[in-house]
Amino acid sequence: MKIVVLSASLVAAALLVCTAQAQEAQPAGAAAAKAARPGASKIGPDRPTGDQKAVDGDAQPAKAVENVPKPAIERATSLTATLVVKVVHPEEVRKAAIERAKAAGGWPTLVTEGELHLKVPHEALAATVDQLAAAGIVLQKSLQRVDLTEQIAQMQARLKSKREILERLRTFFADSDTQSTLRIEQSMTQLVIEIECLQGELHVADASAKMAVVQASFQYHQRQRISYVRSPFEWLNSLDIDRFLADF
Amino acid sequence: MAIPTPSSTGWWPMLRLGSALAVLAALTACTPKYAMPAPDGFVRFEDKKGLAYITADGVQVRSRSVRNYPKADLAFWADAMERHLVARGYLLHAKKCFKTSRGADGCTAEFVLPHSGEDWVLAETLFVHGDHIAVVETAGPFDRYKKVAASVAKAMESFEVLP
Repeated sequence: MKIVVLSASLVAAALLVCTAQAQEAQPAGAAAAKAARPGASKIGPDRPTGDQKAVDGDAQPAKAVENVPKPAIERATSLTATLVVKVVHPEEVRKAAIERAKAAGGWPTLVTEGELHLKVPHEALAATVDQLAAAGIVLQKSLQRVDLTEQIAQMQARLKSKREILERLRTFFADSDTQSTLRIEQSMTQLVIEIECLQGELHVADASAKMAVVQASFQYHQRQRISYVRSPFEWLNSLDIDRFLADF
Repeated sequence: MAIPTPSSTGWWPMLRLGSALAVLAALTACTPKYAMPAPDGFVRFEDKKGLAYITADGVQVRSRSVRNYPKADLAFWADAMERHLVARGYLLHAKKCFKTSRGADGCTAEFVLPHSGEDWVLAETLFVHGDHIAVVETAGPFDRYKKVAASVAKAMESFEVLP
């Protein structure tokens, strides 16, 4: 009998693992979970029933809920600033930018003759870009913003669900025989792997939301090409770098 | 009595040569001459037509004259030049209008462009005087140009059209 109960529990646990993501929005097996959670049963009696509402004189509970101010959602965003800046002494500008980034808690991720990539805290992004821009002539500048709020929330929910399932699986050990213990261990191992993967992904997303990327290029020639356009004013057609150099 | 022909007397080729020389002289007389001190760090090519200066690392300054046709003022030509070069893909990164020490109006526009795998600057300075436009062009790799940009700008303020 015990084996049957344990097997059923394992199957239920496996199902919970598969539906971990969906569980956050609407926990699967909600009734069972609520029953397992300490204090879960208090939720029901604490809520006023229709009869109680009539007794309490609370005719519009929905509006009352709406009036409660909702907490402001803090958005998690990744920021990437890209700029092409012409400077007379790139090595000096590069050195100063790296020092400033380090002082602000950032670090360089790519340093070449013509390129500099930095990671800086979000609050230091504007100052870092301004410093680079002030060092020379800005030829191009752009800022890319990606909202990671939903992605992080989903990962956090999946992680929470998996951890809860792991805790529940641990409770099954007490009453299990050898065969069931092995199956529980197998499920737990799989869960631990999934939890570690999720934690890693979450750390990466968190880091992206905290650290902005600055990609500075000190070269312009890669970006644009000169084309031939004819002017109705004849002498303007003679303005050309190749003609200038040939005639000199 | 034989009628003398141009080829038999030889006066016809002489006339043609004379006419050509006269036209050449007239053209030379019409071509304005300019004067500008050599910017700091530049040396002058004395044998070249018009002004021609160069630095040791190859930044070059050259003047030439073009017809002011259709006749327009400095603002018009500065605007037309900027639009044309921007349309070609040159990047305008600075422009400045100024007065020379002789009171002439001039406008300089600096453009960045890719050339031979490097970023170059082509700076065009215009002075409009009557039927002509003086075009003073400066070109060089970006970093080398920036080192001498101030001295070139200073020399431009002493630019003058010789009578």
